[in-house]
Amino acid sequence: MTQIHVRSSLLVLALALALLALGPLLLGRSEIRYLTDLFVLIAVAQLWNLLAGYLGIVSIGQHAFVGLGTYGFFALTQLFGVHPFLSLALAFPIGCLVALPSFLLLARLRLAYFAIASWVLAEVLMLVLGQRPEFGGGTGSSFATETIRMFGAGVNDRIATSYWLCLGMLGVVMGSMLLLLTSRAGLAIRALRDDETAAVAAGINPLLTRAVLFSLCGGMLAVIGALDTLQKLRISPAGSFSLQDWTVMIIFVVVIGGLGTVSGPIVGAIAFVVFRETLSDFGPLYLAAMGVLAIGVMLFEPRGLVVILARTVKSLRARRNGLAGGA
Amino acid sequence: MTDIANVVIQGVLLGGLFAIYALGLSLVFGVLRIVNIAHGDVLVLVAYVALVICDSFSISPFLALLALIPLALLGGFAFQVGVFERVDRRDPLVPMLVAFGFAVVIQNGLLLLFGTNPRKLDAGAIEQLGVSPFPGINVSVLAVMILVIAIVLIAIFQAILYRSRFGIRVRAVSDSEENARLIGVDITATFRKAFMMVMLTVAVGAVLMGIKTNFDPFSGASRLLIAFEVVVIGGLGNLWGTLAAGIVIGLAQMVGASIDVSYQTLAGHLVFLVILLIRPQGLFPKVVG
Repeated sequence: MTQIHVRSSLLVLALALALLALGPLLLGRSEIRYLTDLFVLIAVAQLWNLLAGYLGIVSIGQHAFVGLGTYGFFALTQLFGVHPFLSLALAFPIGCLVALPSFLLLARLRLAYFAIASWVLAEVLMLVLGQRPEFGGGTGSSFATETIRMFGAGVNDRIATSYWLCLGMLGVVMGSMLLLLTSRAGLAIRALRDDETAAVAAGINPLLTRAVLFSLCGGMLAVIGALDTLQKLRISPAGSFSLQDWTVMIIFVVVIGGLGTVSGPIVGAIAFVVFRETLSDFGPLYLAAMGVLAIGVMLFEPRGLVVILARTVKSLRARRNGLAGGA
Repeated sequence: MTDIANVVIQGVLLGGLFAIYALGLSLVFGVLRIVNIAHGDVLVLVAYVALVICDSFSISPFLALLALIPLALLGGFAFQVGVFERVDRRDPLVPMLVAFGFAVVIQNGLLLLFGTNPRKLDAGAIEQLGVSPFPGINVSVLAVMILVIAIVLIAIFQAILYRSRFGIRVRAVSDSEENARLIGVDITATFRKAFMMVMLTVAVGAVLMGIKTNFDPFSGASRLLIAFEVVVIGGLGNLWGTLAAGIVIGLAQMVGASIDVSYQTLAGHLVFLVILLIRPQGLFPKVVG
């Protein structure tokens, strides 16, 4: 990417964020909630995309770090009396500190094995934290009203605060991803998935790069877990460490949208939310349909909806030009 | 003292069941080179098919196995030809994500058809049958049977892989698909037959799982994780290692459960992580043969 290209994409991002920041002033409660969900979905998908699509790290244990952030946030605010906003920020180092040794342990396994082993690790974290009586054991626990009030006196205020926090978090994720991928090291990082030798030749230490980025992603996921629990107002092992919400759905979003592209997770997340709203009345059917869609994409166009859309636009344009030329 | 002995016996016997789960996964990983995340869910799916057969004809699950094995082989064949052969295998991520999609489809399909209630296959009187070789020591006949079945299956697979011409082809493909192709091995046919072997273990494993434990539409994940841990600890491609590793995880789970029931799963996972830390190549690396 050229320098101008980078600046223009950062500019587009800044404009989009500024526009979206007006959301709570203009929209109704359900629309705000809806968009907040979408921000979280895009951010988590983007982080998985960075790992799987660029670095070649395929994890099915991302829910470990989301749950860790949730439980960490609960521990800080409820057990140690730390200020909620400070606790949100502290979720980041907690996530990083757990993600780093986890990565170094799992990195002993090849790509495919790494995936399942990361899942084992997530199970372990859930079983250990989920059995502690401080966190309410298997049934979980609720946040004290005073903690929740810190984020706004009324429900509407809290929903707006949550919206802005999630939007800001998405801005950080998208911004740092753009900067990272377009930086001098970015080109070599892009090579890590397809050609590790080329990446090494470009002066990249694969293990170190992967370890650092995996750990930063773990930190970010922990922050997202803390933000998300502000909307649910409670923690529980099954809910906070949800494989379905934080790993299964996220993988579908990235796969359907387009793995290894910055726009893929955004397209995938929007497609997913539309899909969910249309089919949610049918219960488990919509999850099965998501699975079928993901299989279809993998079989026929593993590069995802982004490529399919681009191709459609191109062929439409070609047809229009052809008609114009003929007339 | 008898308590400890009982825990050890139960753990060893449980290991037989785990080895059967892992036997198929080991072939899928080692020969087909597909990270079949749906392995556990396929086991559960086949267990539900067994349930339907048993209920419709009011027969014992062991008798149902006679119908279940051909069905599973047929389904596996259709799946291999219809899906896995069409997947772009140059990037290992693609078949893995396809399997992931199927896992979710199977789970939610079963949820729609059967609901969330845990189910079990009823094998009749044999389930309660126990012998007591020494005072205070109790051994379940069913569990011994499962371990014997595991040993027989592994012996047969070992003979096929290391004593037959087909086995030579399988190992050639497993070592290097390119080289195998060069010396004239029909890769597609070898994959299909290997997947049939996988489905045989799945059919047997599903029935034994259904008799020994409860299952629901989402039980696949825990079975996959156990099978995976056993494969990694046992060393890929080492079938007797798979049995030993199954026993290691079985023992870990039973020791965990004897401390507190809620520690059963956790203990198995922890033992796996510790072994991964100390010996990432597994306890019993592949024997060159």
